[in-house]
Amino acid sequence: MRGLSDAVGAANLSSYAVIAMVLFIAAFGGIIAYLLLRRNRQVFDRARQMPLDDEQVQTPRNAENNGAAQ
Amino acid sequence: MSTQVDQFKYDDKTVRAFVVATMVWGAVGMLVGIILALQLAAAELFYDTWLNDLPWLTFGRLRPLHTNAVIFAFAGNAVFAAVYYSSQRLLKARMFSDLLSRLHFWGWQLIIVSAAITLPLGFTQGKEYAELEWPIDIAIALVWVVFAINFFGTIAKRRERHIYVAIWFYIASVITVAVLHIFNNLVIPSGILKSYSLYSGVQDAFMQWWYGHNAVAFVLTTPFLGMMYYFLPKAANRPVFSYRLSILHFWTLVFIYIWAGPHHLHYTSLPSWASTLGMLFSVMLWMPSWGGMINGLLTLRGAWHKVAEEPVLKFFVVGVTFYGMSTFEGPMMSVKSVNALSHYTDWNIAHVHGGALGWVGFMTFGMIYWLVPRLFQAELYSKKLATTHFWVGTIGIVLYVVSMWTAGITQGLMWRAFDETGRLAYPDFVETVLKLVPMYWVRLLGGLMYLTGVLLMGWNMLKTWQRRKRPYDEPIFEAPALEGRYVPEPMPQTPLERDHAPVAGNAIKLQRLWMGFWHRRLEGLPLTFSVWVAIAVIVASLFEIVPTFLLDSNVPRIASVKPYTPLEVMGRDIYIKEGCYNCHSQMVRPFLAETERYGEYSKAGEFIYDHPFQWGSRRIGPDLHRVGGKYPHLWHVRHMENPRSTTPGSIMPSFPWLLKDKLEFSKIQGRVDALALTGVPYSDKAINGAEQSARAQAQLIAADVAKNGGPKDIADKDIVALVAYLQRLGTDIKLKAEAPTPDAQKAMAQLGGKK
Repeated sequence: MRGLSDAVGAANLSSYAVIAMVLFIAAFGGIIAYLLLRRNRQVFDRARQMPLDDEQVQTPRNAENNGAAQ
Repeated sequence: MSTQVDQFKYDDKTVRAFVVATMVWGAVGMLVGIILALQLAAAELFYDTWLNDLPWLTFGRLRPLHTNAVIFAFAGNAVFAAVYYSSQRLLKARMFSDLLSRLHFWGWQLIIVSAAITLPLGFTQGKEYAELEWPIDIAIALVWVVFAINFFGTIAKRRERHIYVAIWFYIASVITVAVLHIFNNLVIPSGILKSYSLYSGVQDAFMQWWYGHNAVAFVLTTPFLGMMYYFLPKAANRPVFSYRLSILHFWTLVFIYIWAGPHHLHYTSLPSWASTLGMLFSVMLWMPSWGGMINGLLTLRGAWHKVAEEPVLKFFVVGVTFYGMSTFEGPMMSVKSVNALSHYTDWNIAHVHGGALGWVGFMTFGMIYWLVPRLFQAELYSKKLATTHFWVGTIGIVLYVVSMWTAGITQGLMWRAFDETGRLAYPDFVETVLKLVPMYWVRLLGGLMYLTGVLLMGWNMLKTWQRRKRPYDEPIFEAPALEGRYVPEPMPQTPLERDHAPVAGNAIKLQRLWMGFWHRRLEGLPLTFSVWVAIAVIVASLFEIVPTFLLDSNVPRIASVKPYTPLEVMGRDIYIKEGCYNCHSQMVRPFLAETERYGEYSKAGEFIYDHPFQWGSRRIGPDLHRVGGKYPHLWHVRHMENPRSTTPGSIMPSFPWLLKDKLEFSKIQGRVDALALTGVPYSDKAINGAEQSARAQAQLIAADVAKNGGPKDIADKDIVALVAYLQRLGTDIKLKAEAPTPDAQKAMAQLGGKK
């Protein structure tokens, strides 16, 4: 543990804080962009209905219905 | 084209079991809470009566039972009920394995029973909400794995392609709780029900509150949000207001929550960069949390008339509103200057109970009232009784929270008050406690009302159960059969592809990325999705925790700080066993009001041998970090025997058994050896002769006590070890480090320095 501490202490990792922040903001921006895209609205509308119907599958998960997800 | 059709049934038996367990453990946990509230309001009922001869009834031992019972037994079972009911229906699949469901249910109940036995007996790791000893921790990990296999197995065989947002919240909870539980409970055992945390001092504190805060996040928040996103639309019979907002809510919580833990350690010896980071992320949490609250409340738009008549919706509306209140109050309290006042006071207690009684409790009750008629397949016995439960409970919460706010702010202000001569206005700590007693009565009343509501619900449930359909109907559902092999959803064409634009493949890839198709892929691929959640959680944790463990500058060493002697180790174990940390902190913050009251502020380097740390989170009694040497040995003996004899008005329990119970000298060597394994640098003498060393030190203390007119037979009793530990607390930095060598002295003299 001691040697590891020395190594990490000497590595001068402070610039990684900025990298972490950039990654963080990029991920956040990506999610926002995805949410705001118009074309996803339909998918969201279908997803919203999921809890309300215990019987009907919204988008079946089999090969034939792959196209139906569009 | 004809599609093959599957027929399947949902498993509601397990859900019924979890619902009943929720009710039973909820009532037990809250009853323990009532006893604790009574102990603070009417301490005289508990001391100087026969009740005082029952060690397991003291505040320090029962409080962990209360917190563990309501968090892991009440809320835990409620979460499992919600997950088992809603996942099957959202995924259109029966739970993966009935055997695993049974193992999960009974395993969890067994863990709760073992907690209910070991905690009052004083078997504890001494870290809040992580008190359970290592064999039980291993059992928890195993049961959690059973749950995870059952849950992810159900996702794997689902018939619905897209995974609804409630399931995302469950996935995040399952993964993160596993990570938190394992890392905070890494210990070196010393016997079957005793262990020492692998970490010490600042690092242990950091790990503990990373765990503690995220237990709030991933046991008491995210699964309940999953519950909200499923049961609220169900009960209102309307889709959630905005699915987009729910996705944003999910990802921001997963990204941000994990960083917020250090706000539990403001102004302690934690490096201030960590504390500031925790504060910033806590404040950032406010917005997504309110986004979620608004999303929940707006789901009811156009259905508000239903709230007036439907108790289920009443519970949900107030529950979600309390979510909003708590997630505003939390970020506010995490601001350092607010925290300077609120920390260690009943304000914290008000805050957690707003969240626990209002959000967790009411969401659970709403869910149960909605589920019970469906699970028992009979009409609810009495809607009126349910509405009464709602009102009794709501008024109970208001009384509870308002009285604890008042108590917290009162005590916080009294601690820091100075008179016009510049001295502490209330130098006697007990004065600031006695001021709170009227508020403690109001709190007790609030708690009683809340419990009454729960008992009404139990009665209502029992009566509904008596009307149940026998045998239960098991409706058969149909859905297109699952392919044997997973077929991913095909990529849609991008406009560039459609137009056969003469561009490089990369441009099309870029357009795909921009179209956001990746997230839908992600939703359809639960494994990948789970991996991303795990990465989000783990990476954030590493950025925060690793530097504290690896950068020496975060915990400056102090030469004069030495490991505890073997007798002091035993004393510290008694301190932990009796749960002293539930009422006493060991952390003097760097404020004038605190250094005046307690002495020099606490430094990180003083705790490097504290496995586990004992900084505490609430001062029902005064801070103890500088108590060493403050009073004679005899004072401590008398004080532990009966605190009223030295501090009139004290509400601390008496510990007469400490003067009678024999100290287990035979266990000392094993304990010292275990501590040495965690890295405490014990000398050869301690490693080989811990017991002799302890006996010798015990004789010295006992002789001093006897000489001053105290009891003459304490040299082999528990009390002698506890006194040794208390007298050691916070004294090391008062010692001079090794005396300078003659050469150094000469050099100093030449420089004109002092010897």
